[in-house]
Amino acid sequence: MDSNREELLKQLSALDFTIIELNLFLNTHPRDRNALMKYNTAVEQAKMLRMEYERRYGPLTAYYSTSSYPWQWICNPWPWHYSFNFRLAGEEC
Amino acid sequence: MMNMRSSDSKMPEKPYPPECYDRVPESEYIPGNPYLPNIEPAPGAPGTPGYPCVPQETVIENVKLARAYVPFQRLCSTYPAVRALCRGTLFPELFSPYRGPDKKHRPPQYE
Amino acid sequence: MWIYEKKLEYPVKIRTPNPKMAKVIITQYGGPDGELAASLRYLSQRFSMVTPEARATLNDIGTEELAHLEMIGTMVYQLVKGASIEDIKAAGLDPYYADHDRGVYPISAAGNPFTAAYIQSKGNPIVDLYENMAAEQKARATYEWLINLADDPDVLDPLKFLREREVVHFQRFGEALRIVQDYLDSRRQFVIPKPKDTE
Repeated sequence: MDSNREELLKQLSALDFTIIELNLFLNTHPRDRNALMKYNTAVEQAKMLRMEYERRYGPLTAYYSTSSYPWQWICNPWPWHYSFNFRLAGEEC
Repeated sequence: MMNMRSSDSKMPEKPYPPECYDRVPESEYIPGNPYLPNIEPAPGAPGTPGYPCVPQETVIENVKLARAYVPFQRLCSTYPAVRALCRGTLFPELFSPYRGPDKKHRPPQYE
Repeated sequence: MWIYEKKLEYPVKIRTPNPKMAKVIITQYGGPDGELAASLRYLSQRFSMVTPEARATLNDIGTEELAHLEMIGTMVYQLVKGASIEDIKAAGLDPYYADHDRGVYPISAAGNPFTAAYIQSKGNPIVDLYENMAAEQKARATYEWLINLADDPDVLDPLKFLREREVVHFQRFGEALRIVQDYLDSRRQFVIPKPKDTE
């Protein structure tokens, strides 16, 4: 479908995943400076990427995100729909 | 009658562990990086120049019986974000792909 | 509390319906070693954890398991969505279809509905952490068997991702166990219990 949206969603999902991983690592290594720096950097980057995605394609949460009119949150597709998702190519692994 | 109080001189001043770790005061933060305290890392620590980075602890001390010990991971390198997502972990040392139902999974053959 | 973000942790994009795969993959939705069991287990146990590290670990891994639950639900949904009644019958999924149509319902591969008997929350942090380490191993093994059963790359990719997550979670629970063990050891050196102490 919209390859720009899929590409942006891929970058955002990848960045959010590194945040989750660093979150779990820091939970058992609270004094690891290196990890904390990576976490904070990733969060700042993800904020920008998320803002860009939501500006173009609508809210990602019904909590932190604003919506244009009419209420966009309910709009298709939802994450369990085929068309919502991107695909990771073999060489990216 | 002896009144033995548990809060003797042996008790530490703060409860152990602290309910959460004290945040470093803002005056100690690196200028330009509002989040990171400006404290030198311990010499020879992973990440200091020239140190070979081993991504886990290799010696565990004071091991006791009737317990399980999982070595701590140490942060060395990380995958770039998209590769991390694809592989399921940010850390190369934790990447452990499934090789399929091969000889390792056959039951052992005894003589 | 929980905020929902409208995206999956890892994408699920299955082109070809396959009710046979849906019948087995659903075990990671409502089965004994599935993601519902995992999230309920960790989110229940977190209340009785000691040390900040253990509490956070239980809380955050429990939350991530909810995201995995969503992924498995998505896989089942996409695998049956375009399937014909003939394929559903051929897959042996017709008993499920009779009760749930093409909906997603928490059962095991053998058809047993989800039950809290699959989980434990003993209230003792050491016991619970060992239970969790075992749970992650069981989940990992289950994903390996599902990987053995699958051949569609669209299905294999999310399964491999979820399997690797179990490996990482095991490491985190192991580290939390070390921290809690150390804490409980050292606490005995500090505290002299009062004679009437019920500890």
